Amino acid sequence: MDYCCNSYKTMTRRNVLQATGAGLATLLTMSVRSLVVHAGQDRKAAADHVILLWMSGGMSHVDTFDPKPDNAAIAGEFKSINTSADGIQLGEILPLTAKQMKHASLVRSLHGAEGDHGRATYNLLTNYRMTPQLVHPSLGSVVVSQLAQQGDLPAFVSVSGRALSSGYLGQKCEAYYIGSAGTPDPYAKLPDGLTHIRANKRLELLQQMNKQYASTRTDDLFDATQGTYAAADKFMHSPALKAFDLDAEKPETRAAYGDSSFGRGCLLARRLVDEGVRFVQVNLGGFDTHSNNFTTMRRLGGIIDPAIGSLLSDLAASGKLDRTLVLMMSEFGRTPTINSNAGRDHHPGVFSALLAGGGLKKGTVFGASDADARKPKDQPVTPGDIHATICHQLGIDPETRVETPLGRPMRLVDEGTPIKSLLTG
Amino acid sequence: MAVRRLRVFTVSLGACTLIAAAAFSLRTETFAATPAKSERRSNAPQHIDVLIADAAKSKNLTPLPICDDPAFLRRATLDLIGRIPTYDEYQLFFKDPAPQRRENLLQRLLNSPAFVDRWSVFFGEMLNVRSREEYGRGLDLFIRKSLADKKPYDQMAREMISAAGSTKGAQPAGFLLAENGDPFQLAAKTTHVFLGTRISCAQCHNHPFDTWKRRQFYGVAAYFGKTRLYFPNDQANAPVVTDDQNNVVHWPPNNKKAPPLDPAWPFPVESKTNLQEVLDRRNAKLEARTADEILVDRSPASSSSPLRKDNDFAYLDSARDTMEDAAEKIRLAPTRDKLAELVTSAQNRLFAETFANRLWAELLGRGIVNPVDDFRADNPPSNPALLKFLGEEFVASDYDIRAVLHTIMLTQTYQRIHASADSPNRKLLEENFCAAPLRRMFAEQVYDSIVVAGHLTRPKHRPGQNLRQVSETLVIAREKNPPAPEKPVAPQPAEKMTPTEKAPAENADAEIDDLLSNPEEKVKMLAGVEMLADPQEVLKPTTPERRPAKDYTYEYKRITRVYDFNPSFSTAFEIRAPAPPEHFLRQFGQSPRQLLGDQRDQQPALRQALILMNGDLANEAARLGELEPLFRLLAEENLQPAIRRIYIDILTREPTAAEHASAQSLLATAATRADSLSDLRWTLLNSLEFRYLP
Repeated sequence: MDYCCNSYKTMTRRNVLQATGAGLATLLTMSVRSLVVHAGQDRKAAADHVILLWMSGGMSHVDTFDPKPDNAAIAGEFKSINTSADGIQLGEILPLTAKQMKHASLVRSLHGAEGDHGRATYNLLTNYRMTPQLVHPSLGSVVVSQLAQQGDLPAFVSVSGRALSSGYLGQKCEAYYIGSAGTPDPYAKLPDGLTHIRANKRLELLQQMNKQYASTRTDDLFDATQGTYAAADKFMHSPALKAFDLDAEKPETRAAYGDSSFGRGCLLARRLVDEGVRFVQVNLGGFDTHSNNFTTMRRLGGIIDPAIGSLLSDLAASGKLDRTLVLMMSEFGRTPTINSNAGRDHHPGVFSALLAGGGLKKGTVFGASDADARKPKDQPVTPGDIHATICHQLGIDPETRVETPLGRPMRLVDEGTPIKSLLTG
Repeated sequence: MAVRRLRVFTVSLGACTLIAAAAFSLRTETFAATPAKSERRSNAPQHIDVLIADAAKSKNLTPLPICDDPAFLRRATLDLIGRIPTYDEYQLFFKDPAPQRRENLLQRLLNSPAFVDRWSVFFGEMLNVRSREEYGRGLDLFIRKSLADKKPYDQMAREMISAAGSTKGAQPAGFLLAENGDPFQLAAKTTHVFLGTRISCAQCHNHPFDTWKRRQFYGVAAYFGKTRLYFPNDQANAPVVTDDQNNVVHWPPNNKKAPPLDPAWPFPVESKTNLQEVLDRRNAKLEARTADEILVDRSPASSSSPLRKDNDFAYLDSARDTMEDAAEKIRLAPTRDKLAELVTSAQNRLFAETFANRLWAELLGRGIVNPVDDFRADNPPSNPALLKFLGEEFVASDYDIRAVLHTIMLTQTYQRIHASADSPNRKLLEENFCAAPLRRMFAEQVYDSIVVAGHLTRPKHRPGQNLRQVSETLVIAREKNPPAPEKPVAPQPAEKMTPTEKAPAENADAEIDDLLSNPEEKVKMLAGVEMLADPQEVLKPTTPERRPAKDYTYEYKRITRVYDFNPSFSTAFEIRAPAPPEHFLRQFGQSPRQLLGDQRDQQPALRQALILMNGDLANEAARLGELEPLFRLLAEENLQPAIRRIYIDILTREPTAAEHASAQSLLATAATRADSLSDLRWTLLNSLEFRYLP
């Protein structure tokens, strides 16, 4: 019920509520602004990059990361399998991921507050509840708003599906969008018939003209506007662009990720991180298994399992996993009970997320669902806690405040604390 | 008068229905010059300048002089019809004797059909109209029709707030449908949009930075407490909006046993005595109206078309309502009628001031109350006398949007030059309306201006001159165990491969050929790639995992085809909004039109530069076509006329001597004249001077 103005919670709430006079309200406005502190600078980052694997539609937790082998009514068709991490079992559709579990950790007590796809997606990706007043930025935008860009590629890339808007963080924190991994970006190269010589001449002339224009008048966005042309030119000519060319990988590597756009997306994510991209979001839909849950999940397992398995094993082998945090989550889980269409329905009560690398503990499970996989049994985790954990590992203070264009202070992470026992050191 | 109005309306609606297709001409026809009779105070612009000068004096600021004619032409054309002037319009402007030029231009622009398109987008952003959705489409049409009809603003607002009945067609009820009839959302939206006030935080707690009490917010919501939507079982019919007997807004909140709360108006009401002079002028204007204008019925109850046939109710999805009940209710929304009256009353100063302030901000880059949706005690107007004056002028004009725009644009304040780059008090001058701030074109203005500057409103190459070859993968879906008769999904081009159309399997290849030989399809495909540059839509179905795999097999077929690349573009103000996130318009900051307070994002971005450097729009605008007037100038020995034409086409001004020289030296180094002129055009189209209003 307090969802409108969550950011004010850290102010003494009673004072705010008692403030009715305009004069006092002014004072409060000022005091809120003075609270804006960027405390992140002195933090030490354990990770530099994030790969978010976003399973859209509500991925069944029971069939993947939180199997209940002893309860046939819940488990349905799927068995559980052992993994390379002691004592952790996964659903049978994830054999290759199971092999990599020694590198990863699970949170099995994640719970959300929304049962609608749109609202839940918003909640999981922004850690705020959807309100009519403000659009909050999604995790990738938050991360890139706080970290310096590395390399020539955009800091935030979203693959085969959109990231949510960057909200009040503005256009500069929007995701750069790749429709389908392995397909060339139509805007990354010059149009047919235009030589680089001509293109350079155009830019040179443009610079002269702009210089002349800016000598007589000025605007705060002149430099930024011209900067985008320089950045675009750099982007088009950057050797880093080769990251988008998946043909550069060995055929057996490509095969290992699976012949699917999600598999190619994971491979691309790995290559983008190598070029300094801070946050890659790879999207896959189709998890809304209201009917034929097991057929669908077996098919989807065939897509996600080789992709995640290969991504984790490649990153671990190259040592990149140490500085790259892989997060896999969905907007909610699915009902443990199987409905009359052999499907599972929306279940935000408890579900799971996978976290690997980025300096987090490996081969462990945090929190548990109850025997029915219905509610958190202990140590409940909120979306905000996940966000805070990611920020913490990247050296970003989750309590950092940013101002909306209207001057309203907002916390990067609304209410959440890093999951201490997943942090090392 | 009646004839002209009818024509305007027809043009507007006719064009609306054709939005999806790509190749229409942008409106560049010469406007009919029809100076309207003016009931305004004739010295209103001068009075505004005095109010600005008084305020400036107290801050030791001296207002800057007014801009030259070409700058005014460009600025006013962009503001009123959303694009730069064409070469012909430039010529026409200078045909008038200097003292009448600006006034004549304003009359032409205010009466142009393109004015309706451009300002419907202004309304669309103000009201978050999502015209890709059915209800939003109806509301969008309502707005376009209202603007074409020159409907007074208060009447538009009244019709939206008090809408009842079927929502089919051009209907104001989309205002209610957009919020699903939710009383709290509607209270928030009504106060936000029409009264520039953010009271919705008070839904959950007393407002921290303002004086709004939770109960006051609930009192406004109660006006919408009886609003109900009925959704038809049948997809073909539109939802129906009506009022129920029961008010769902209770006080205190979260208590199911709490009684319904009576609606209560929390905003100040001005005495009629204080408004007498303004109301007299408004009445004089009303009386002066010609008979055909009075035909527009202004009573709220008749504002939406009541249902007439009994079978119109057959689809009401309501178990407990009899048809008679529903029929009765559908015509009535008395609680909202009351609210509509309160909101739009002249005695509610906020209503007129909020909108006049929005118009001011649109033209001057900054509201007198800024931001425009944040009227409150702690955010006072920078010039209270000016705000009051504008509000009263708006009422006196009988809420005539064009009249207020006209008044503002005739002021020296609107016509000032920019402060110089090295001026130490540039920001102060701009904030106090003593210098024109640098305003960036918004997305639709950028798009349309590139289109007209590059003569892309119609094909500019001869047919067959620009054959291009493309390779692409088609996916052909076939049913695994086809029942007879066999009906697999037809192959579709990569741009739009959603398997919707059906065709016999044996004809699959023929279908492809057919598709490729159809010139209209090519244009559409082109539009799919460039205008609706939405890679997600383009590419999503090529991957088998998204399909119901068990029923179909997929054949991937690599084909090469040749098409004639000779694009033309329609106006961006008719593209349904909000465009997909990857679209040119969104990438250039079009409002997502989702939440209250959503607005344009004017920040530059890498993607924008890439689109202009490598995308078709800017490159095709720059490329020289044989059918362009410019092409003839290319053959002449002296290229000065060509260079001049390019500068006027793109920057609405004559080139300087230095610019002539620089362009000549560019020509000297290029492989061909056509290439070098196209490089010059590209450069001008991408320049800061192009992107900023003069």
